[in-house]
Order: sequence, then C-alpha cells, then structure tokens
Amino acid sequence: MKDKRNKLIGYAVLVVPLLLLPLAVKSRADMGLINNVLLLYIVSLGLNISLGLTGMSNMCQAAFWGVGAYTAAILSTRFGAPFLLAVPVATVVTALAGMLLGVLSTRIKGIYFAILTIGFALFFSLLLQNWPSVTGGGTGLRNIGSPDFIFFTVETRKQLYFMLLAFAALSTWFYTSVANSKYGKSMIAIKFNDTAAELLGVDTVMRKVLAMALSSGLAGLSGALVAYTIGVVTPTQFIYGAGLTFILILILGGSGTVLGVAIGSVLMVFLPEVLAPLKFWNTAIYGVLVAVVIMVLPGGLVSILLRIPFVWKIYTIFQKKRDDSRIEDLPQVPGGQAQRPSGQPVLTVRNASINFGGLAAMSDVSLELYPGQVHALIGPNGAGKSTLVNCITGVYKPNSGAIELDGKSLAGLTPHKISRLGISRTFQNLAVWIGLTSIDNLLVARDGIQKAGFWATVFNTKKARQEQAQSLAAAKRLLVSMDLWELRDSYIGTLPYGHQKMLEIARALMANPKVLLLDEPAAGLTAPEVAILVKLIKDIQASGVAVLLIDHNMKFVMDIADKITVLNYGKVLVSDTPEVVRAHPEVIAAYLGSGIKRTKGVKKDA
Amino acid sequence: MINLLQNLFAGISIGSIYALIGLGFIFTVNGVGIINMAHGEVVMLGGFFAVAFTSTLGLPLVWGYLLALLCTVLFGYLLNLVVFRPMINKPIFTVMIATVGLSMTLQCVAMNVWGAYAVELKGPFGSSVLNLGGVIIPYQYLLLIGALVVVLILLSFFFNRTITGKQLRAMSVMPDVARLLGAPTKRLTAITIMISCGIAGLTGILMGPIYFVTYAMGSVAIGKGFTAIVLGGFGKVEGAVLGGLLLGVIETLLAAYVSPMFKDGFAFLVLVVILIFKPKGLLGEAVSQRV
Repeated sequence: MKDKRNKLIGYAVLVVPLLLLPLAVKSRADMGLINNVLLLYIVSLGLNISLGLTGMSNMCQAAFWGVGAYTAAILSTRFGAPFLLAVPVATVVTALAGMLLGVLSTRIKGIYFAILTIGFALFFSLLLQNWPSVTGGGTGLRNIGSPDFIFFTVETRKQLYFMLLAFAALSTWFYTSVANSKYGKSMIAIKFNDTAAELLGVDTVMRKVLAMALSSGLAGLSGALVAYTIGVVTPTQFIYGAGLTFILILILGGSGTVLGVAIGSVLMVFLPEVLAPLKFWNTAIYGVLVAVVIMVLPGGLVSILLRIPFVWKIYTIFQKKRDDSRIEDLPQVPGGQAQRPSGQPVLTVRNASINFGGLAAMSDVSLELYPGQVHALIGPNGAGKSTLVNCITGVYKPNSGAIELDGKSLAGLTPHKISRLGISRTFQNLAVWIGLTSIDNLLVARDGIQKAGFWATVFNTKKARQEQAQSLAAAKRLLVSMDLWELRDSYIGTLPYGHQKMLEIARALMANPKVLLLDEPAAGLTAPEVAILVKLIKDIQASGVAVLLIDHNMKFVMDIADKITVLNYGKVLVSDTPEVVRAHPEVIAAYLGSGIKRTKGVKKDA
Repeated sequence: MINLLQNLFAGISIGSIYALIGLGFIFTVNGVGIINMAHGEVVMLGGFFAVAFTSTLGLPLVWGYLLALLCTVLFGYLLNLVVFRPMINKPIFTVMIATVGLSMTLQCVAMNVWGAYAVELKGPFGSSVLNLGGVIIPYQYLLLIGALVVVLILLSFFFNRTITGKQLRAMSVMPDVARLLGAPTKRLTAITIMISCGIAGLTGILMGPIYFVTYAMGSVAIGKGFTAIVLGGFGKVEGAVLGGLLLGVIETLLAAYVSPMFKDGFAFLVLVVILIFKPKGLLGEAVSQRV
C-alpha cells in the first residue's frame, strides 16, 4: 500500500512540473526549443535500444529520423493522408528499414557495422538531395499541415508541447516495458557476449533485428512528429553527421537510464543556447565539454544528479524492489524434461570429424551419453575436447559424422535451436553476462521456455505474467538450493570467480536441459569449491540429466565420472570406466604421465 | 582507352591520399589501441600550418613544408600529454568519444583562426603536368604516389630494423608483457602518436594544393580514411593501403562513368557489397572464435 502511495508521489513530482511548464514559458522561441527536447528524447530512447541495450554500433539514427519525417511529409503533401494515418505508417516504414539493416548486422559486426550504417546515412542524405521529384530536393517539402485529431487540431506551440509530451510518455512506457522484459535483458546479454546468448537459447539474429526495428521505429515516430511540428522537412536536418548528436545525448546524459536520456536531450538543445554568447567559439567549448564529461564522468551527468538525495529518493521509487519473498510462496514450476530411466542414449555422436584447414581437430569421434550418467572427456590440450562440445552445440559444423539427440539429427540447426531442444552448456573461459545481475543471468537462459511473443510481453498479458513468474520461481529455487540466494541482485561481474562459475552452471540448468556440457568447471576453483561442485554435479546427475564433463583435475574426474573417454590428437584413445582408463598404458603415456617410459609411437604433448 | 588510363591514374593518386590517411589512423589503433577521431583535424592542421609558413610568413616552400611537418609532430606530443596520457587506462570507446569532442574543438578553433573559407596552398609544381602519350599527369599526383611509397619504406625500416620499432611491435601484441620486460610504454605511446600525427601532417600538406585547405576538411578526410581501412581489412597496414588505393580508383571511375553526384554514395554501396561477402574486409581473415 505504502509502495503505491510512494509511486503516486513519484509520478506527481515528475508529471506536474512537466504539465505546468508552458505557463512559465513566455517566448515562442523557448517553447520551440522545449518541443525540440521532446523530439530528441524520443529518438534517443530508440537509439538506447540498439546502441545502449544491444550494443550495436548504430550510427545512422539521424537517417531513420529522416525516413520517418520524409515518409510522413510525402504521405501528407502528396497523398493528403491525415495525421492519424501518416504517423503510424511512417513509424512502421522506418521500423522496416531498420530491420533491413538489422539483418545485415548479423553478418557484419562491430566497427564494420558502424561503417555500414554511416554509409547508409550518407546514401540517404544524397538521395534526399538528388531525387527532387519525390523528396523535393534541396528545398525539401513544405506545407505539411497541422496534426489533426478529428475533434480538434493542434495549432500553437503550446498545444504541440502537450501532444509531444503525450508521445514522449508513450515512448517512455514502451521503452521501459521492453527494457525490463526478457527482450531487454537478452539484448543486454547479447551486448556482453552474444555467442553465450545464442548457445543458451536466445535467437540472437532475430533479437538484433528486433532491436533495430524498435530503435528505428521510435526514430520514425519522432521523425513524423518533427515533420508536423516544424511543418517543413529539408535534407540538412537529417545529414549523417546528425547521427552523432544522438550518440552524444546518450553519452552526455548517461545511457542505460531513461533519466540519462532526458538529461542528455535537454543538454543537447540548451547547451548551444547557453554558449551562444561565445558566438563562433561555442563549438570549441562544446567539444571540450564532451571530452571532459567522458573523461571525468563515464556514466554521464545522470551519475552526478543521482547523488542529490532528493533525486535519488524519487529515482528509487521507480526501481524494482529487492525480492524477499519466501521460497514456500513460489508457484510450482512444470518439471524438467529430464527424468527418464536410462537404457537409451540421449545424445549420440557417431564418427564425427572436423578439419580446420589441413588440421584434423577431431577424427572419427563417437560417444554416447545416457540420462543420469556423468561422462568425462579428458585429454591433453588441443586434443579436441572443446571442439567436440562446439560440434554438439552447433558452433562448428562437423565435416562428417552424425550427432543425434533422442535419435533426431542436429545437423544444420542453429545453436539456439539446439539449446532449446535440451542441450545446455558452460564455457571454458567463463562467459557470464557481466552487465546483468545474477538472477537476470539465470532468467535470460529461460528465453526458449518463455513462449509469449513480443507484444504479449510488452502489454504484459496474463500468459506472459505467468511465464515470468514461473521463470522467476525456477531461478529462485535454483539459487536457494545452490546457496547463492544472497547474490541474486549483485552484478555478476563484481562477484568472485568461484561464484561466477557456480552461477554459470546454474544458468545452464535454467532451461531444463536433457544434456549438460560442462567445459572445465573445476578450473581455477579452490578445494572447498570443488567439493561443492562435486555435490552439485551429483545432484544434477540424480535428477536424470546426462552430463558431459571436461576437466584437467584428475582426482575430481575420477571421483565423479561413470565413464571416461580419452581424446588425443582428435582421436578417441579409449572409452571405458575410470578404473580401466586409469590403468591404460597409452593414457598414462599420453596424458596422466608417470614413471613409466613412454610407449613407442605416442609423441610427447607440448 | 586513354580516358580510362587517365582515370585510373587519377584514382590511384587520390587513393594514395586515402591510403596515407588510413595509414596514420590505423597506426595508433594498432600500436596503442587508440581510435583517434581527431586524426582528420590533424590533417587539416598540417595543411593550415603549411599555408601559414609559406603564404603568410613567405618562407620558401621546402622550409615551410618541413616546419609544418615538425609542428604537427609537436602537436602530436601535446595531444598525448593533454588527452591520451590522462586517459591511459580508460576503455577504447571512452577515449574515442573524447577525441570526437577534440575534433569538434579543433575544427571550431581552426575556423576562427583561418576563417570559414577555403585557402589555397601553393604546390611545388604549380599546375605543370607530364604528358605521357596523351595521358596527362600532374606532377603533384606523382608526388602523392611517391610520398606514399617513401612513407611505407620508412615505416618498414623503422619496424624491422630499429629497437624502438621492434619494441612498438611487441607492445602492440602484449602491452603488459612488453612493459614488464622493460619496454618504456609511455614513451612508446608518445612516439606512436607523434608518428601518426606526422603522417597526418604530411597528408594535409600534400592534399592542400589539390583540394584547398578548409576548416572542415578533417571530417571528409576521416570518412575516407575510415572507409579505406574497413575496405582493406581493419587493423592491417597493408589493408589500409590497398583499401585506400581501391577506394580512390572506385570513386574516380564511378564519378567518370556513372554519376558524379552520387559518387560518395556509390562508393559506400560498393563497400557494403564487399562487406556482405567479406565481412572482415578484403585482407581480413575470418578468425574462428574460441568458445
């Protein structure tokens, strides 16, 4: 109840000044500047989805802004489309343009994507200049008209302000719904490690396309509103250099928070005004300010603002509360896929081979995993252990041989599909998403299980809420059972190595796997931590999951494995029970190393 | 035929400029992990310094050029001291944004000092040309190609024959190890930035007689250099050179045979197509990621 009252106060503190603002503004010019702030705010919120959340180096937000503005302007001036039709159409058209670039982004990454987007922006502004029959050329399009809402027409700048404020509020709601949903969290996961996201069941290709669509959709909305607010569109408004403006908004204000974007937008509009008395020198001072802010305040100006107690208090009202519900109150989670009597192998690898150039990394490897069995894979460095795991999870495509899960071939499936079929894994070099909290790391791995679509999630339908609650319950149970509950709200990057490793295993368990691939789970752990790990793996085994375990800690492997396969130079040396393997002369020679002389023909490993 | 040869030659000459810009830019990226978005402004400064020494102060061309070059190297020293040294352990993106701010500042200062209009820089050969059986080649173009070759030879000598060059190579691979083994990494960083700025200054001096010198030329320069680098394969000196030459030729041919208005746009389209088929650039290898 108190929560609700606090929230009401919070909204009041935010909204009332915004509603009263026009009363305090005397000049028409100032009102226009304030309207600009709102327009920039909407575009930058969009950019925060692709650049801020997903980490895509999208440098052409200005071009998308232009696509929206010109679409609306063309619809209005050439086809006489009303405001209420032109704006949604412009938004959708721009979102589609964004999706197109999103598709390319899955092939062209990082700095190459940046250059691709710069190229798109440049080409777009050339198109505006040189295609006068459609775009009006250098003079652009005029007489776009006023926003017409059937019952009334928005005419003055103050009326426009209220319209823009409503759209800004709508955008804010939309952005926060996306950012706090499984979509937003998986986007952050993609930013920090997209391979891991793909291997844990997130469809990273579609997610990036979605991020670009949403990002440019908001740009298109703002663009269409620009066309109606200013009444004119010209190419110079959307030149490709303007793409930098939005990036600077995120950096100056502080990306990641709505408040930061708002502060950045205000600065971007009013800083040049404040510096105007400096006349020709204002850009120089502005540039220095940008450099100083990024050097001194990498989190943007919002990080200073949040140090003011009053602002912090209001801010925390809108933050998620720390979850203290007891485990007994949790809803039941539909059981895992695992429990089945053994007998049939769940995963079969038959004669799999793969070459990298001329190097045979793996030749003729066969392996069977049974439910409830721990199968260890050992061998010297470079023996092909991780290569096998990568073949099973779809990172590499084997040149020959078959890999089957429950008798169905996995050939040609993308990693996230394989993961969704029930194969989960951890990574040799820890691959947690350091920008997310522990519990969010776990929740992202439920992506494949939560079936609710994008719009159902944004509108928070009953089904979406139920699924969300189930995922949360599953994560909580797991954290409590692994004694990691206290760490739930800590950012995972701040935790000690051992905890991160345990959480990585917990994350792999979130999707109810049939097969769990553990790539060197004991590496770097202390002896007490290894003891905890042994108990954990035994529990996982008891629940009926088939475990494939790679490790160099022999005592640990011998203690826990039901069966051991030894790889050397990409070939299976022996595959048998620990006792047999321990006594096998070639294994001793190739790997375990003892006083016994090396067997002929087996070279010493580097 | 003559026409095509003429265009090809012009393309290679212009491409030499792009290659030099790309080279200077990639130098700090490779060496010390700094993406310097103000690199184009150093090119501009090179041009303006040369104008100041030759036209304004009336020095002989050679001395004016040399002094301008020296000034850009010194400017590199200052840049390191004021911007890069204080940000030594910051993430690469942070440093990059700071240099974006720097480039805005430098542009604005240049506009106030030298004005908003294009200034002419005198070239050593005026407008004299070499006539090779109908193909007309301005001497300034030959100078561009020659400068690129000389810079490449000097760099190769520096990296393969001198201790400092070898230390730089070691540092670019593993900075921490290099430091622990006694490489003076702070001094090496300063040297890297000074060399990069020197190359930028040289580029500006060579561009001046062809394009004029303007306060905004840095944005265009960085755009071209960046494209050249991406085209050739990011992080490779050979890539920057190949990409630069190729970009020059593509642009010139497109302008001559397709449409001069869309020249820049088409060049980017070509780039996009190449990237779709070779996502890491022409010389970039597909690195299989370790999982």
